[in-house]
Amino acid sequence: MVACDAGELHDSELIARAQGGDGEAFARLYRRHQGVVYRFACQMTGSATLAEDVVQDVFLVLMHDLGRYDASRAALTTYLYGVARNISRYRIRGLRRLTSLDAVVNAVAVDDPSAHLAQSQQIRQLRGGIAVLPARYREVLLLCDVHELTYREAALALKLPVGTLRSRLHRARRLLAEKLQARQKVGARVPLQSSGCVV
Amino acid sequence: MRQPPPGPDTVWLRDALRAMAEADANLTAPPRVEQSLMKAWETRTPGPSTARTTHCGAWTLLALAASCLLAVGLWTRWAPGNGGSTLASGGRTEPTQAIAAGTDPSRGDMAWLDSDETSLQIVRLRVAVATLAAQGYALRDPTGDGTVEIEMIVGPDGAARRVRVNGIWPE
Repeated sequence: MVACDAGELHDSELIARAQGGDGEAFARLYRRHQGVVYRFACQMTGSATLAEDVVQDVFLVLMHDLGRYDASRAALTTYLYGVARNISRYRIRGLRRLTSLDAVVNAVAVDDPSAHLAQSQQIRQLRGGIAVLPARYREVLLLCDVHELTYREAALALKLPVGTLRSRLHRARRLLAEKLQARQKVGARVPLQSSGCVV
Repeated sequence: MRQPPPGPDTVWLRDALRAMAEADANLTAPPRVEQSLMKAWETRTPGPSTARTTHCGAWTLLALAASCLLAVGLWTRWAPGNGGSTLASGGRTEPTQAIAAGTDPSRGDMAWLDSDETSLQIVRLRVAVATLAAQGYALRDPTGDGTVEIEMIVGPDGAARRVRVNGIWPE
């Protein structure tokens, strides 16, 4: 979650200024939130290139919807996650039809924007497992377990009842665990669970 | 509503996901994204409220223009002395006007109207071939004088329902 620093303007204040035509206020909103949106988009799409497009589209939507955003309903971050999720799903929809699951895993490994930071085999395995989850499970898992949103925040972002979100999260964890364990059984990878997850 | 602690069978998975989150923590979008966004900001369209106002103005102007067109059209159809357009417009046709609409006024027997005004009216008249051609009825000139005799069925609203040319077929 992104919180504004002490002495910095709150999101709602920046939005009000941006609505009045203050470009610097919009730029500050972007700088404050682009990181989480980019990371989420990278993890959702498995591609840094697609993630860039998603970030751009998300903030273009915000630019045009400044007047419609209602701070009393959800935090700006929650709103941005929701838009990013929709755009990511839209962007990868066509890609999925054309790409086999193995190719997606390889694409994630090759196109991993943090490859220079995290070369660990386990993280690559994990990314591959997440990439092949159905989108409805992937987004729930990422929001709750990677981005650490509360159930309520994630439910707001995804426009789901909390109960549905919880059952999807449970299912997503189980699916991911099964996929990772199946890969371990193939024997091509370093065991994730028994290695103690020093990733 | 914070999440409950994970069960023992998923602890390793949660730890791995958290580690992935830490590995990704420093990822940020490239500067070119901000540059292109700020370019878009400079050329952005007005916000929704302004757009709505503009649309309201546009609709008002459009309604005004439509009213003017309607008024001009009605005046053209109904004003005395504008009988020449009755055939084309299908306006309510008085017999004398219909006859005068490009026909020989001396032939008073060309037009016939039912006395019941709510029924369909049959109007017989002679009009210029060019007038019909302008309405999309391309005809040969049967007599060589540039006119043709037609029968027109006019509804109680004054609109022409059918036009029949005696013995002449459209080209």
